[in-house]
Amino acid sequence: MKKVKKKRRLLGRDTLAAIGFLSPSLVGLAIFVVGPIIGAATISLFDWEILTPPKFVGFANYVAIWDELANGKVLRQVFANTLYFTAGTVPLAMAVSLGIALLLNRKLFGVAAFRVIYFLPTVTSIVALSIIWRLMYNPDYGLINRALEMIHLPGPGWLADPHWAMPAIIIMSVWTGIGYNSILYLAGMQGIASSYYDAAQVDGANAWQQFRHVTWPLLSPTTLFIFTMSIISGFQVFTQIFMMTSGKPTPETQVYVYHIYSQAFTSFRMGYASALACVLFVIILSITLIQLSITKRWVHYG
Amino acid sequence: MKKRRLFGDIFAYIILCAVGISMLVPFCWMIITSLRDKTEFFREITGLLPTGPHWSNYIDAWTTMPFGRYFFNSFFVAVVVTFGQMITCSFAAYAFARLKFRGREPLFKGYLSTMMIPQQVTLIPLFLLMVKFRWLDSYYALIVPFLVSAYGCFLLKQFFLTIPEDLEDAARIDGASHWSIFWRIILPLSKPALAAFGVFTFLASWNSFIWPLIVISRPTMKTLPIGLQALQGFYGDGNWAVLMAGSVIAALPMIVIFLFAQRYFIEGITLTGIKG
Repeated sequence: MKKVKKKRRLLGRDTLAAIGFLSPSLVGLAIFVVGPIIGAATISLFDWEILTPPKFVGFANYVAIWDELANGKVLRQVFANTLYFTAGTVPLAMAVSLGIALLLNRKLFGVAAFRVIYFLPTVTSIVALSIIWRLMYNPDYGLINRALEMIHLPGPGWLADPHWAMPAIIIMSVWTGIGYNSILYLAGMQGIASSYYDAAQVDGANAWQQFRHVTWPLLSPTTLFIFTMSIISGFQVFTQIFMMTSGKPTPETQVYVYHIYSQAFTSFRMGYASALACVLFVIILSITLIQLSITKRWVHYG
Repeated sequence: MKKRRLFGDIFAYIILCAVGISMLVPFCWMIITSLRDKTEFFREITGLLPTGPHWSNYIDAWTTMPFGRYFFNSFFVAVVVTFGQMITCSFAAYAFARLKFRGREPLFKGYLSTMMIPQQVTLIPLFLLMVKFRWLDSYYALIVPFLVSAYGCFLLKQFFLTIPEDLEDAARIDGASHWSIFWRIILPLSKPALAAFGVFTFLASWNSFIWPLIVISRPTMKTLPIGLQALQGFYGDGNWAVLMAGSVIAALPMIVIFLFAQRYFIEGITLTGIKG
């Protein structure tokens, strides 16, 4: 009897302490994350252009989004552009980063210096990187077309050319992400116990076989993580588009978040833009849930 | 076998160097251009190097836009946000890792699920909230919404769980409160994790773009990325030399910090695994 009483008292003291330790984060998350997500869902049910009072329209904004997607208006193009960007960046960035990480993992002399160099774009503001690359891509004075000129190749108009604008942004984005992704891959590789490689060598496995049967399967959690995160950030691309093309040549580089931004903060269609944002949320949530279920099913843990 | 290893190493060096050069070229081009004469750019450039270092571009960039003020704003906001997150997140992490209270697991799951909400989704309501609070064009808008991070709570909780509880048991028998256990035992033992988390938070805050773009319009309240964007808006394609000088000014502080604290950057990235 006495013991039970004491236990209950202890539990009570912990609860009080827990309230104290948790309240700052709880209040912050409630006001700045949970509140706004409920807010976004609510606003998406209204027709609201800031200056006029909001008018309840039910799911009309979502119907409009569906209609635009189905009937090939701007939004469909925006969606296609976002997919184009994501499909262009993710596999390329992942393949290059994996290759770099494999080379860095050879523990050569001077590897630390390479790591620092590759990491430079990660610590530099994308705004500055966008300005640098806008100059690199300049059709008349840019370094890229000057270099192409030297080997007598015609340089495209890059960011001003409807066909080349998106590839140009993809190249720049892959370049930006190499350091970051290869550091993640490298961390994954260093987590693989060397006994696996010793065993493979005893069995006479060559470099390719070691990669194929040891590194690649044991790296699958890292690969899946980078893959999911890259797709999610592909859907969220904004800064380099805003800085380098502002969606021009319209609508070749208009992407989803840019569209949300311009609908909300230049056209002031708060309700419609919120509906777009909620659709983005559902997309990203689905990607995350798929990743979680795949992780449970087929990823090998070493 | 040894010979093959040597060939492999040489091959690795060649690839690593090629990629390294492609990483450095844009940065070098930025620096070279920032030192060119303003008009030199539009003429046919004969050499790769500028006719002479024209430091005046830096003075022009610095005087066209209040870069000193931008720098201060970015620094102030990043420092406060970093320390704020370290405090709120380590508090919450301690509660989840060490305290026994009813509803702990569901509440932790609730924290985790807020991690799945992308920033762009809450942008509009948060903006309207700032309007309501009359926080537009103020440090409050740049700082307060970012003083908490569910990800930080999660990360630090995972780290706290790796600290053996024996140390605390001794302290608890001596009658130490939760506060003193947290402050005197857990936090000092978590320095590496806190440093990595701190560096990562600082970097994310320093480079954040879309939020300050929306809530800040007064020139004196701009952060470096937004200020640099304003400089591009001001010059357009007209004066690349000054634009590049501005980019160097904006990029340099973080690169210098990185070179001195790179260990923490790498740890921060591998620990957190996300980029803001």
